[in-house]
Parts: sequence; structure tokens; C-alpha cells
Amino acid sequence: MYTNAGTLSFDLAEGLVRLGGEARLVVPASALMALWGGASPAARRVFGRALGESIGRAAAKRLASEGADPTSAMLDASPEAALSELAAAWALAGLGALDLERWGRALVFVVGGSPLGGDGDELCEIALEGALSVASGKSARVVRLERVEARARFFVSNAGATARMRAELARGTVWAEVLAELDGASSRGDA
Amino acid sequence: MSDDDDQDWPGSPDTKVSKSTPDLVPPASSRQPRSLKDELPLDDALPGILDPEAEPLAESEERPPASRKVASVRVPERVDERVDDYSTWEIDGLTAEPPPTRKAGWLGVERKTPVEGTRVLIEQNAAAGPNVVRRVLPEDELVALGSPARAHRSATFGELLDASLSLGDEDERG
Repeated sequence: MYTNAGTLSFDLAEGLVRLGGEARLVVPASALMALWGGASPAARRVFGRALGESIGRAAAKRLASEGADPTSAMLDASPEAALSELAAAWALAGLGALDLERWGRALVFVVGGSPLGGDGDELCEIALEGALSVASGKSARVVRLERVEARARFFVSNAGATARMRAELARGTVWAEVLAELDGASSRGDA
Repeated sequence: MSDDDDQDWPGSPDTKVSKSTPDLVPPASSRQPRSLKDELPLDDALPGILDPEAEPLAESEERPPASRKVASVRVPERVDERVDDYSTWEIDGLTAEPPPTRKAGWLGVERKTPVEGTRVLIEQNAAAGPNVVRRVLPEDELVALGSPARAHRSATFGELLDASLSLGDEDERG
């Protein structure tokens, strides 16, 4: 249930938009992408990370009961509940519809209908990292696996696994095979 | 019909018999003169052969009356004289007895006359429809498990995230 703590409010008299007490800006997607295209990789990462942390903070805050730790609430929540809150905060940021897939032990987030299109996949990648890191308190890395029309898949794992995935994708390896190798190696425990 | 049906059974009479009292007066429709023998009662016609005090023969063995008036047509009851009456058999010292009546050996459930107060009165009221008696669940437990099954707990989001974050760790250690 979406509570008032995560309600996006528009104060027309004051000319303010707030989400859970935090001021927001409503900017055109084209304007944002123009800024994104002109920014350095470091600036992109700072911006994307900050955007994602805001999303993750709002989601964990809504999951936590009064006085409870938001991070623990996110970790102890069911996958459905956690995804619901993350997707709601993601949608309030105007970044599209967020879904979650499980490929073996790998978590794959799916962003559909983002107004930023393929040019915004890097922003989504970094924003997902920020959202999951803040919401869970764990260091998560995200890499985009593929984009099929309006849907893009993002793999969540550690730094080593995401780096290997990037290298394999650059060599043209199918991402599902890499996921299977990673999952198989972890299951055997002796690779 | 089997072939046995066509054979002559001993003691099987003609099919036309009458229970009416022998009529000594010939019917009006009879135009032919008859012999005196046919008009006499049977016991008079056969003196010394029939015992007037004897029990009457079985119905199937009755002879047609002298009047030749036929009251009905009866299918003869075929009795095989070669087979004894089973009611007279004695098996292991037990003789046949008539089947027990309800009063003398009835083991079933006697139907009781309904008490006036327990009758359910059904009133027809097509407009209002029937009064439906709805069932409810019993308050007591209907099913009890002999051994409790292991409760299945689905993984939390944190557990799924940990599993995904640990992918490839073994590769790095190996």
C-alpha cells in the first residue's frame, strides 16, 4: 500500500513538488538527456547515483514501520513487497515500469517504457545501483544485459560478476550463457 | 419357451376348468343331444372311484365340469412329481420352517410412527420460494495432521539479493 510518506504532492500555491518531504523537479526528459549527453562519465555517475539513492530511500522508508530500520525492512520484506515499493518510487521518478526476474540465483531487473529510451540505459544502470545500495545497505553493481524495444534488462551482482558480464557482452557472448556459468559456478562452489 | 415346456407333465389337466356348480340343464345354445353320462355329476357317474369325502384335488388337476361351461382359462401349474416337496425335507435334523415374521425374529429396524411434534411441515409458497437451510462448518477440527509438515518459508528480498550478489565469488577464490 502506498502510504502518505511516499506520496508525490504538488503544491501549486508554493510552486513545489515533494516526495516524502523531499523537493523534486519535474523536468522534460529531453532536457535531462541533453544534460546527460554533455556530462563527463564521473558527473553522470554522481548524478545517476544520487537519483537512485533517492528512489531507494523512499522505497525503504515506506516499507519500514514506525521507528523501524528502513534497510532491515527492505531486506526482510518479501520479494513482491520490496519490488512493489521500489517500482513505485521508480515510477514516481518517471523512469518507467520496474519489474524483477530471477534467472537461477541471479536477480535481473527489467525497466519498461522508460521515456529516456536506449540513451537512458546508462542512467538507469547507475540509478539502480544507487537505489539497491541505499535500500539494502549492500554494495550492489548493475550492468545492462540487453534492450528489446522498450524493455531493458539489468543484472544485479557484485563488482567481479558484473565486470565479467561486461567483458563477455563485449565479446558477443549471450548474456544468458554467462548467467548460467556464474550460477553454475556458485552452485558447485569449486569452480 | 424351452423344449421342456412342450412335454406332457404328469397330472397336467386340460386347460379348461370351471369352478361353477355343475349345471344339469344344458345351455340354451346347445342344439345337440347329449349323452346322459355327461349330464350326471362326476361322483355319480363314477361310483366307487371317487371318494366324496376326499379332499379336492389341486386346482390344476380339476377336471372340466360336466356343463362344459368354461369360466376361465388357466395356465397349468407344472409340478414335477419326481421332485419332493422341499418343505418336507430334513437336512441335518433341521426341518424347513416358514420364514420368520417380524414379530418372531425380525432383525431390521422397525419403522416408528412419527410423533406429531417432530413432523416437518412443508408449506408451498411459490412466490416466496423455498426456505433454504444453509449448512455451516462444524466448529471442531475435521482434519488433524499426524505429523506436522515442514513449514515452507519463501525467501526474503534480502536473501535473493545476497544470492545474486554472491554470484562468481567462487570463481574468484578458485
